[in-house]
Amino acid sequence: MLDSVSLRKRQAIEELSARHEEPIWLLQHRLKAWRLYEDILPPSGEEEEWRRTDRSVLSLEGVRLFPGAVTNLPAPRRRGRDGYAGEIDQRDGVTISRRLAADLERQGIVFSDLHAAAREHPELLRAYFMTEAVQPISWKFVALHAALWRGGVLLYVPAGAQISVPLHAAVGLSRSGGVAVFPHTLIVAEEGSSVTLIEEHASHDDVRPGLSSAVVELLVRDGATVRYIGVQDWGKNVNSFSTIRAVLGADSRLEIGLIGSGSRSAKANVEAVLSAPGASANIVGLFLAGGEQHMNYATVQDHRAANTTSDLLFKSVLKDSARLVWNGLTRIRRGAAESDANQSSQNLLLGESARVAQIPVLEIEAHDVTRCSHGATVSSVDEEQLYYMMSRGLTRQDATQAIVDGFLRQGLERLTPVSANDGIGRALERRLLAKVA
Amino acid sequence: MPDFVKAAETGDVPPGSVKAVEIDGRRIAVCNVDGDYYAVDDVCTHDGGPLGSGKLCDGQIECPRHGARFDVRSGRAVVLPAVLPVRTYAVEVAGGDVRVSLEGGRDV
Amino acid sequence: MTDRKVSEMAPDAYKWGFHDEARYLFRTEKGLSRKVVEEIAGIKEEPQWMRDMRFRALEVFEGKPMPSWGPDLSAINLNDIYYYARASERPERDWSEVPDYIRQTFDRLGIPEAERKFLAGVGAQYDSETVYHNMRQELAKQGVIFADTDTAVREHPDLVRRYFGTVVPPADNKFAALNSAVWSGGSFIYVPEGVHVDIPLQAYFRINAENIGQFERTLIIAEPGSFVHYIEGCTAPIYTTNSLHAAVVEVIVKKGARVRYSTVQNWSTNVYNLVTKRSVAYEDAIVEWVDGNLGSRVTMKYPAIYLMEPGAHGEVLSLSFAGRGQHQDAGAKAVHAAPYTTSVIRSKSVSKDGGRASYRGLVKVNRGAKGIRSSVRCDALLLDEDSRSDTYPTMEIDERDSSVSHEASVSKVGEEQLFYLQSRGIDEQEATKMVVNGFVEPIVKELPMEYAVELNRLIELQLEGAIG
Repeated sequence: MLDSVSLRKRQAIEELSARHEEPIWLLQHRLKAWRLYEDILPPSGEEEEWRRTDRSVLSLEGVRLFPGAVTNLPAPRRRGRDGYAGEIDQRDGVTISRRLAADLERQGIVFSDLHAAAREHPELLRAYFMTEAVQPISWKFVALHAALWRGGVLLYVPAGAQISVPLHAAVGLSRSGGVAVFPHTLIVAEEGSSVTLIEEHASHDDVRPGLSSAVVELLVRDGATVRYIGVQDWGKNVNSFSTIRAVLGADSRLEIGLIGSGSRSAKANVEAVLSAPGASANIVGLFLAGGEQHMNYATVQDHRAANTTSDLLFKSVLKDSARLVWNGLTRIRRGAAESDANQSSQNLLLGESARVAQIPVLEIEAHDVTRCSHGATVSSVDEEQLYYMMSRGLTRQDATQAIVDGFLRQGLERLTPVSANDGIGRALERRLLAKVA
Repeated sequence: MPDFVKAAETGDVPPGSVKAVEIDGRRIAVCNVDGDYYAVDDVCTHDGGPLGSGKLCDGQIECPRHGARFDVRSGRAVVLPAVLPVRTYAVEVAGGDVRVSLEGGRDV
Repeated sequence: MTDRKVSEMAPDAYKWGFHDEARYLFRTEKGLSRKVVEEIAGIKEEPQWMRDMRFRALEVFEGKPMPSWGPDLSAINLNDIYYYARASERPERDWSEVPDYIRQTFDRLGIPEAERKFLAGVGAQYDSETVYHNMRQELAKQGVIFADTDTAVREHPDLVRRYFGTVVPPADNKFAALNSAVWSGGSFIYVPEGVHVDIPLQAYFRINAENIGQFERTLIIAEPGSFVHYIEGCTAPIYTTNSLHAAVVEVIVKKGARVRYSTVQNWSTNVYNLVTKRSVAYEDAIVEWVDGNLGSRVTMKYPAIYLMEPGAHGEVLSLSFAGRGQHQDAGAKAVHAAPYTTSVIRSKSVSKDGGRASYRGLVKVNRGAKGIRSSVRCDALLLDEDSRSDTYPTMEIDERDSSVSHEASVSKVGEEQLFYLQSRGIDEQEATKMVVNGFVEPIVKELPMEYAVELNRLIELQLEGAIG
């Protein structure tokens, strides 16, 4: 029995689906997800993941979930200079521009938003869209996402195709603020293929609240390699949620680089499932927070097969009264013999009122582990180091900057160089390190 | 000149008791120790939850969840697991009213 | 009034294969009620304030739910337990009266005569009462009080009242509430200012007629500049029909004083051992917990140190051995409530035959606690396919000017290690023993020698699978 509010929401979803000319099954997927969203209870605050986070970040007040058709789109920026093999630019869930190198088109690579994919490659969506990696039932805001997503990116790489130059996706929120956006990235790398995607989420600061509930699904088949670099730089008014889950096949390789500095609050759940022998995952996170920003990360390294490797390194710099909470779980299940897993969290506290809580958990059920370890450190800037640099003419601020740069750079170095083209790597670095000032 | 606001009536807070009230969005516990009135944050510094209305024991208020105790006169944590003191506020009694000043609440 | 045989109570063959019966002089009825608590307070002839506390604690206990985290406690039937029992009227007076199983244990562990006497009491004959009595007299000359807690409540009520329940209040957790309602036995130690107690005080010397050891309440107060080392427990397995042990230990260490508290627990594998141990350390004080967990079906124990004033230092050395059917959920807590305080936590665990060892810990640094340093290291050794190890550490850091590090590792006995030893003519079992010994050595060496020797032997026996 649907009440009038629910009915209106249903109609809004139908309208949304109709606007994009979606097939019936996709509309049904949305409606089912909406029902789930209404049924799933929000976190109570007793869960370990939520104990130290103010649940007001879940508030939808002032945020339009159903913004209607988007007008006033900016003109496409002139691209091609950065040297990416493909680019997508989206604002408020609408694709403004899209480009893919001709030879990649020829190889059968699919790189488009999900609406285009629903029209041109429906079989890919039916097979992979929220089926294996992230399902709507994950948690309340993923169900919401599954009902209301717009735009999105599908990157499908056929077996054997090796793409050495990265592709790029830019997802933005418009200046008008008060909107919810649901970026969705689905990468399917078939056997023996390899691809790199750099994705950036950004918006300007706005007085009105904003919401982003993003989902990233990474399906890395046997022998494939996927590198995903996600840069989160939402405006100070946005509460950002990301659910990232990767499923790895035999002898596959996954590299995830997360760089986060924006938003009012950022919650990210990152999970790598090493489900077949020989899989390996390397996850690096670099985070900067200041003001009253709150960051909440929950990571899972799930070893389900033998000879799997995972390495997670999260580095954060916290200024002012920023707060970071990290729950990290490494699970080595029975039978996952000769697994090698490491988890490391390093935090540099710059602000007097900065706070960090780290809960790195190991659950080991297989005895034949090669190595399973974790480490967590918290420290502040080394006064001696500062003094040394200042005595060489640097101001205190510059010296601090240099130390922080070095601290973060160590993390960047753990990621395979983004491409042979230095330009991309350096641009990223500059953008990240500029935030510290 | 601190601004005193009415928190409760003296009849509401007999000797040995505590009454939790809300003033300007802040939860305050008004206490009566042998006829003298005191006010502290209604927050246990151990887990951030409320201390709540209850009984005073020897001028100490006990948190119902884990048994931490605070001296309501000084704010000091006297029984673990609380270690940080609770904030105290100036109190005055005038004409049957217990009045509390939220400004200059002392962070002990 | 006799109990069922061991073989009936612990069908999974308690490792020592004892078949004795416990005899009780008096027991309260099964289950917990106000009536039971009244009886306990009445038998002890306690002052009103202690009775009041027991009743308040009972209410708190009844109101709290079982913990929603940690090992499986579902098999505990709180109504099927005797909360108070008195084993015998008089303390044992000579060697022949020491319970058989204790004497047999000494035999099995191959403890030579002299050591046996040392552990059981100095002298040609076992006379714990005399030993204890003599010790108390020596200590009394220094102003040191070493008594069972019941006696202390009667003889030093003001002293006890000032500190009892200030470190672990009854409402702290369900089992602290239980202990506060029905506690009996345990040690009370008071060391005056500047006094150094040279010999370790041992729980075993403190004979208590009501000592079933089930709900012990220990309180240690070290005045400024004093020192004492207290040892509790025994590597010899303690059989008991009482399947729930909920002890509380409160330790107060004042300025410049030092207390070391060593425990080796080897309860029979039908026991749920749920303990709250907490200390407060003031300016320049030092607290050391050495915690060995070998027995019990489930142990939940996290020795804690609250570093309240600058210069305070706390250490926890934790060693756990989890064999078949066991879950050792142990760890440590360090709360830095003042600047320039330091903490060191070292945990080592060995899991075998499906046993599960978990490290659970907390390091908390309050805002304003500048210049603190904390270091935690947990290492786990898994000996076979079925065993399990977990680490659940939490670090809450609210002060930037602090240095906190945590490292943990889980590993198995390395093939290279084994290969190397085997290539030198050492068989696999022997080689495993050597590796395990090497692994636990840093903590074992912190125990008093006789414990260290027995502990090593016990671990060897466990590895051989000669027991259970």
